[in-house]
Amino acid sequence: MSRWNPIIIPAPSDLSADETFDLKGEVCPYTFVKSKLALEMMESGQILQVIVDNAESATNVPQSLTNEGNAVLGCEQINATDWMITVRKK
Amino acid sequence: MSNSTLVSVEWLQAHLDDAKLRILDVRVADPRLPMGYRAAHIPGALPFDLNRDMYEMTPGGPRLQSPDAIAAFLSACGIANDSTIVLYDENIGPLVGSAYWLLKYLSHADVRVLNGGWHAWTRAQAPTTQDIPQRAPTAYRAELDETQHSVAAWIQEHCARADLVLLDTRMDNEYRMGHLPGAVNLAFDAALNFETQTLKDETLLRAQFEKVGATADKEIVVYCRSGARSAHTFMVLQTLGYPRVRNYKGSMLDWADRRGLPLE
Repeated sequence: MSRWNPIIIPAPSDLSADETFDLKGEVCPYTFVKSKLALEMMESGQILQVIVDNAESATNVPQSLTNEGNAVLGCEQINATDWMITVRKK
Repeated sequence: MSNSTLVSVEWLQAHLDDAKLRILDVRVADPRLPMGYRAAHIPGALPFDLNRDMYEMTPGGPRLQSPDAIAAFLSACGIANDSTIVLYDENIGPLVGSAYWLLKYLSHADVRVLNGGWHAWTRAQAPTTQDIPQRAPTAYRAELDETQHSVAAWIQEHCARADLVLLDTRMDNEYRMGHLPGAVNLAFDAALNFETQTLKDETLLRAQFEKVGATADKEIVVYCRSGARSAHTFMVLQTLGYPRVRNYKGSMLDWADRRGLPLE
């Protein structure tokens, strides 16, 4: 059994993302480096959804983005392999 | 040249024409992101893609290319063993840390890092270009310096030493899910000032490390998942003058996933 245990945060059902960034196939540190760069392209208050395909990224990307002052609105497993992280840019 | 590992925009601008200076751009190259070397870079810089230029993909994950292969790449970039290499990232994140550690592991003596990276450079309205410099090839010699590196067997042999600190540089929630026995935790990004995108003030950095017991009189082994975030902390500790720092490049992928060694 995986030791990874991402904190599940159900994203608000009425939420609409401004951008979606597919990071499947990417691992640390590229997952959070690219998530951060994608946010840099956006305006304050806009919402980004990032898709990752490993539980470790679903554990450390939300915390990394939170540390930088953004608001993580959701972190959910969306199928057998993938996770969706929803974040509002600070 | 100054002896400081961390250099400012002003310092780099003043030294752009130095004959021994070589600048490497380690920023992410992703066609979906309108940034990176192709869009614009610091004059004289060459692109440095860690995955492409330093590692080869194997079934067990990325593996460092042979020193000869890396030496051939550095030679083609016009880098000599006595070059002053300045690295820069978008800001000062794990990619520049990884490149820094790698060059130190290859025994390169003079490696500098631009504090604040590309953000600081463009904020200062320093010159940028799309020109790709042509450099005469050199005959670079790469020799691995194992004092900059650690492996699992070395940690097992030395972990009981009172002067050794195992420093886990992952996020605290990752640390809580399992870490090397006896390791302390300070996430790599604790070194960053998120407002300025630079490293924090030296006094503050030193206090953060000392608070978890990572003092300069100790030998510090840093690790994370795959050795990239820990490479960043390796770089930060060297900018603070810590004399004995090793990066466990294999990190948790090697310790737990590959070898099944115990966690606590």
